[in-house]
Amino acid sequence: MTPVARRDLFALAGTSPIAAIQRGDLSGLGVLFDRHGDEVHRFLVRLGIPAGDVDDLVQQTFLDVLQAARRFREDSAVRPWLFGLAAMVARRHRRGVGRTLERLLRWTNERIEEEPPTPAECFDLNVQGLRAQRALDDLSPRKREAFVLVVLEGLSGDDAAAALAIPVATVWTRVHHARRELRHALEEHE
Amino acid sequence: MKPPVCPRVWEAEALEDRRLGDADRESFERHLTRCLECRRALSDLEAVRETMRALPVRSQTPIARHRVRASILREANRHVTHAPLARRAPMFAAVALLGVGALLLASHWRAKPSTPAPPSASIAAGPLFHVAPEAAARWNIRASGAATVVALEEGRVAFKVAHLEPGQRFSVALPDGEVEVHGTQFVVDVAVNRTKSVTVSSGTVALRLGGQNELMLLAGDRWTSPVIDEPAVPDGGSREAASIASHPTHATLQRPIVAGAAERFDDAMSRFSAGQFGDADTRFASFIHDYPTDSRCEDAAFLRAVARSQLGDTEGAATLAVKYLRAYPEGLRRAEAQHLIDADER
Repeated sequence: MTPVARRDLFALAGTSPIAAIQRGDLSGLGVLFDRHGDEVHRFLVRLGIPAGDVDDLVQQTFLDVLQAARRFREDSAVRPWLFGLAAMVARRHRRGVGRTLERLLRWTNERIEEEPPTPAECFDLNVQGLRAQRALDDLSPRKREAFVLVVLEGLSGDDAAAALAIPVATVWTRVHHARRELRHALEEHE
Repeated sequence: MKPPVCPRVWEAEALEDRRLGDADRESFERHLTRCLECRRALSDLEAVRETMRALPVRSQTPIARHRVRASILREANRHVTHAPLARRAPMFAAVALLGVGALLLASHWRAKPSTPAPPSASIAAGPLFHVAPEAAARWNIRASGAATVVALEEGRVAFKVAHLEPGQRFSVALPDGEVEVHGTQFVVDVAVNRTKSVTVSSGTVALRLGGQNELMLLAGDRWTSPVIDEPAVPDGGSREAASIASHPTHATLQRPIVAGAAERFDDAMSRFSAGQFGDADTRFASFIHDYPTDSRCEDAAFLRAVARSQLGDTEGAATLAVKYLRAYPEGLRRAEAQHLIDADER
């Protein structure tokens, strides 16, 4: 494919890349990645996916688009829908990692200590930042998903509910509890 | 003794979450001017939000981004090719036929590498091609549906590929990249897990090496690796002599005939990007006329239609879109072209 063919010609012609994927035209997938790849990457990092795994999960999210595109409704927003797919990929990843860790723990009968931050991370984050990062890491995955979507990514309650396939009231409950836990964690050390 | 709790303090979170209607929001904002407790609750919520948003998020490097993008598209192609058997039964039969044909062809030529190439053989839905390897070359053919991949591990192989029909693909997988073919005749030379040279006699190939931009090679082009291997010093010989002997004596890319095509396409594209749609249309039309076999003609034909559309000439855009669909019924932009036609009919 020539460089020109990679440009976002879908935007020029006013059509949707997801509609192209639904028809089996894979060039739409490249365009979708160009538009939203960075956001999906940032979302997965904020969900706490280890740096070494994020690229793999971004890739899996966009590959899941191939199957999920059939169920995409034209009047839906693309960004929350992609975040929903990414959240599912992250959950599958956590379950896989969790099972592996469980087996390892049973085998070694040892407790895995939390890794201290690397010198580079210490440089990037001040003490307050490290405390905030730990507080975010301590949230349960479900609360963290809702908090990241609504508070950090700025999605509306309805969009977050659609992305996570839960009632909007559940979104607000999880966000409320996440905020309370984060506030307590930050206040404890003041 | 605990201070009394304001009954409206819960509204601070509703305000933060943009859940209050206009009237409720105005009412609560008035209340905030009088209630210290609600102001403090709102301030706490804002502090949590800003603290968490301030956490650094390591972004992808452009190289990592490019790698992930390429990997997604490669895997997506593979997924499509390996769709469930039930839905792809007819295609599976074609793949089986193609595989058998390709293997027969490969074994025939491998056994007689020095004999002249046999007449072209049609292989099911796959592309029509000749492969003429050197005796020492290590290679194999992987065929899947209308796509054929020749994996070249070592040595020199000459290829002749008939003009590809829509949907057909022919590529050569190299240790450090790949060559995608658009109906051509070319020679590839690989040594020590590295592509040494690609020479194109006719047609167009796209050369993609790891970590580098795609390079279009046209008829008459010869690409050679710019990397100079550190040679083994011959017994009794000096390192300097060995280095001179291994230095390439030709340019990395020799393009004697077709340099104008890329320049003219880029010129048309830059006018398009600058919003000079009339000029762009004329230049794309001239490009298609002068280089009818260039792989960029499909883009040029589609962009002509978009250019007319941008000029407000929906009828002209629709006419060009129809022309595009006739020329490229399986083209990448067929849906968008149809959209331009529909826009005119509306």
